[in-house]
Amino acid sequence: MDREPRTGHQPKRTALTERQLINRASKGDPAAERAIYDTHVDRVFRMAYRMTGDEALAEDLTQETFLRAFGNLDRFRGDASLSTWLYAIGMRTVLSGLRKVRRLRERETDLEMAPELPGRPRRDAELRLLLDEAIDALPEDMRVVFLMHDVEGFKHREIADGLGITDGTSKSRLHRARAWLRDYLARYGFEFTEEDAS
Amino acid sequence: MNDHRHDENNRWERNLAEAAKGFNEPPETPRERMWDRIAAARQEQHEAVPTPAPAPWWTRRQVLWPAAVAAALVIGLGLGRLGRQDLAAPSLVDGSATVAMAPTSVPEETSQRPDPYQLAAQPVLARTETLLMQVKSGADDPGGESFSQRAVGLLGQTRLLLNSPAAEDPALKQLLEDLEIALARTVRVTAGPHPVAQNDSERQTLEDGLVRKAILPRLREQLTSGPTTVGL
Repeated sequence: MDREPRTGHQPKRTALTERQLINRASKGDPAAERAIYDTHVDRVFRMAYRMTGDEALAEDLTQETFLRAFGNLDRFRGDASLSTWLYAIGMRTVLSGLRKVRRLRERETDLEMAPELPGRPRRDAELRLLLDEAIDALPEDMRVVFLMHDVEGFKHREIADGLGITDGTSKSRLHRARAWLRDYLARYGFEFTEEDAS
Repeated sequence: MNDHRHDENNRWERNLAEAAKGFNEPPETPRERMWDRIAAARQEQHEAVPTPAPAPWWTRRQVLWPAAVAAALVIGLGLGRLGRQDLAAPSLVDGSATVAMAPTSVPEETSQRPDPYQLAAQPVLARTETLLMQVKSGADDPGGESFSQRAVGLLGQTRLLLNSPAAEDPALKQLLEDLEIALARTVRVTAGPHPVAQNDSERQTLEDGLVRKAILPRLREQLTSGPTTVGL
């Protein structure tokens, strides 16, 4: 897996405002498109990867997100910030991509086969595998909110915009997701301690 | 007691979120690799909008606009005459009908006169609907004017409409913009020696675009709700 250095292409920090960048990009200016891409690509890619767990698919969905965004920039009215608008496109793209691909990962969760993580007690390795399994098993509407909010740090407003739901629904799904995970782990006798999270 | 429980809950949620960071932990963003593909696709999109072949003299702007204005005048005059005939006709048949119709139909007739530019858009929309339906259904390219030629012609007319006062109607403008993209894709899909079956992924993109933007239903709605050319 090749890794490009993050410092390979730093966005140009000019005096351009976001509105100026959008105007230029909407006219097809590649430098402006690149500046927008550089600012937001990490978050879009991370979201896509969290949801898919598949690097090639996450790349495809990230590319599709930016292509859709660039193709529709002239319709961006500026009611929300560019990032909110872009992440909303990203979330819709990822969810629709997931549904299309129907690539439900089948994890080999045989705990006997699970490798010991270096320097960690066995209980920790089991807990992590169990947590992965639990997140995988979460119903999609709860999983996306949990991953976006608790893991990737999106705000409820951003998630609500992306999924076409209200802030309240996003909060309620998050609450249900946490309770669901707690129940799932408790069935196997696991509870979190400060040590588990560290 | 409640505070203690609340604190415990908060701690549990923090720990859960922290532990969940290991779920599908993303690798470093392959930004250059993705950008290369995005840039190539954007380049392709720009190139996909074909430059129409040199237009015949009768479609050139200097000729077209005066012709369009003249056509609008003719249409306007025609509508005016038709309106007057409609008003006059009942009185010849039945005197009572004149009394019933005259006061209400005069303002109605003048206020509902169709915008000539929107009227001019109707046949373009109708031909575009036919073409898109044929391409979508995988119909064989007919002899004579090919799908590709028709798409190029309609693309030019769509752009003219976008530059005309017809585009002052926001719904029609949006539809025309979407049609511009759909027609450009149609040109790509149907160009070549074996047009329709040639490029599956292009076809898929075209069909996805038609569905996603509900282009055919919007076209039909515009055709049924827009001004009619019947009787002119």
